[in-house]
Amino acid sequence: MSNIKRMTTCILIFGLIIGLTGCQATAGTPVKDLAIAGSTFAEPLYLKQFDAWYQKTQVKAVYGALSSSGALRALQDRTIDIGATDVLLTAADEARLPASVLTIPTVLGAVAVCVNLPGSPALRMDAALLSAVFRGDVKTWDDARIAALNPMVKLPATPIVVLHRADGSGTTNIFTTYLAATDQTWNDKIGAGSLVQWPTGVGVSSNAGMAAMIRQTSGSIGYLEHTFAVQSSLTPVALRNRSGAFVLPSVDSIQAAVPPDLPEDLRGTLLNRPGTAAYPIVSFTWLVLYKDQAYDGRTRERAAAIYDLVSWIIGDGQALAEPLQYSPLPDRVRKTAMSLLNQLSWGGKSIK
Amino acid sequence: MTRRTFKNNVMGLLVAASAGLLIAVLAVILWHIFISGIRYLNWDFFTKAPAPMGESGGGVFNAIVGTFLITFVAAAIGTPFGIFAGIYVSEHRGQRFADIVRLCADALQGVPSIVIGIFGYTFLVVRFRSYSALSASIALAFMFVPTTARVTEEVLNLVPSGLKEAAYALGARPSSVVWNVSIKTAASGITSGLMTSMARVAGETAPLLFTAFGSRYIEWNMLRPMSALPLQIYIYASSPYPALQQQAWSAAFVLVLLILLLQYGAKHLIARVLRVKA
Repeated sequence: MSNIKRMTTCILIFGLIIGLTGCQATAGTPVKDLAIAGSTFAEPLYLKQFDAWYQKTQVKAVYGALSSSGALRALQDRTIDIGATDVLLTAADEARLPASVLTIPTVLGAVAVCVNLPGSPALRMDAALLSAVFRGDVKTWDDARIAALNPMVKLPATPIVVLHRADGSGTTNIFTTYLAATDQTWNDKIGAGSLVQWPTGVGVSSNAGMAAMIRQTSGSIGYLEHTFAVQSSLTPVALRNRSGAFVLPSVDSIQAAVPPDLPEDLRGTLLNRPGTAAYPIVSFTWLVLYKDQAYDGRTRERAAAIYDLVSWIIGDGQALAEPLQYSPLPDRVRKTAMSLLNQLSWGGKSIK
Repeated sequence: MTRRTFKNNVMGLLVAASAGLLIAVLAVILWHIFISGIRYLNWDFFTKAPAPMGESGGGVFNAIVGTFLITFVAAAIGTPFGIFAGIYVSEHRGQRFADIVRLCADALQGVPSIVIGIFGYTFLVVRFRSYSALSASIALAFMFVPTTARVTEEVLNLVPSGLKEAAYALGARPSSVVWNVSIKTAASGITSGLMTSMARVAGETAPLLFTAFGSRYIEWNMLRPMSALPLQIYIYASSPYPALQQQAWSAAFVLVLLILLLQYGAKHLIARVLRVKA
């Protein structure tokens, strides 16, 4: 027997052993792995929560930070167990999915607008100015319109580098929906969506990519989920809210934006809410999963593992939100979320 | 100095400079990866899974395991196909079908890895309704087979025809000639071809993005999502956290070391072992 034969046999046997042991481990045992993908807005929280859940239950919930749009695609292809999105699915989105889904809120977050300027000055902006900057209308930092809101700040005469997301992003959706709702010019020229036609600026993918890009680019301005801004020590801009106050994003200012009379289906917007303490760009983030889990030969154990994980996320897992700058769900919303989750079924039978 | 010697000197200089540049580029890349990577290497880096986002510590053990499993399984799937196809093409030199096979292998080699990734997603991930390391291995096997087939063919072509004719003259059957003469003679070449192909697929990122999905847990099950070093480097390098960017360099260092070992270390080692035994 020649050596090459021996060598080939070795590789073959080794590979087959790996492959076979791998396959056998899944048969008939309780489900220990779940795949969740989507939003980078909620990524830091989910990673932390899934890590805690793994310590607790040994269930490996794998998170793919694709983007909210990516979640929809993966859900449509049924390659993941749960999708994560910052944007409620539209009727058209739902029509593209093969079965009805549950959309469960998990946490509240804010979109921070951050700048990279020498000396990290505390800037103030309002919706009209934000719109003008992100449309490329205001081109330099010492523009009169910026100076008017920031009389105390010495602004450099350097050009503004606008950064925006290039991928289909829930964060973009929240940000542009806010601008379209508050600034007529933005609404007419650009509008709102997960992917919009940016008239100017540099495209970046993911919230992590945005944070890295703002850090690296002097004179830049970009928008990203608040946690990323805090964790990468970026300088947020105080935004003028509906009551005329300039507010920085924080757990308190996020909570102040949640109205006491939120409709039962949670479809009411949290953008530009009245209240002096309310931060104007606040949103829920959601998990989306198929209502009946008996599809593609999935087991009841898998549905139960999903139920356990999600009920923990909206239950005890909420304690992890605040240290990461997210606002936990208000009690009333938590109840709504729980009753939504209790509709989860497997072959018509409730999972609860 | 005459015009002719001047021209000669200029050309000589250009040729030498280009050759020098080639070495310099590799040296700069390796040096930079070495310097940036080795600084943050520690025991945790090799033995732990990643820490939650924004927290310090953690390692890339999950990705090291993933790279080994995914690459070995890809090689296990691809090796027989690649070697057999190579033998076929070499044994049927000049025949029409063999030429077509060779052409297809070349074309498959030229398919960009991102396309292989989308192919893997559409035909494996979507079909089996889950991301898995196995689909990554199969996708990589598609890249492994053509390189292996071509190398095998070329090495077999180098086997002196006199040797084979001698075997035939002794009454050996064609199968026996292929196994005991051609392959045995070409063994070290084929082995180094396998190693080079393995090194090539070990460094691929694009097919993994669509198939292996990545996982922050240490995973041994081929049917589940798994991480790999290139994937981890891609995610870490684009992250805003300096600690993760540093880990990206360290992971790059480990990956490059692994690939160089596969490509050169294993090649020479195996060649020596084979020579001693033969």
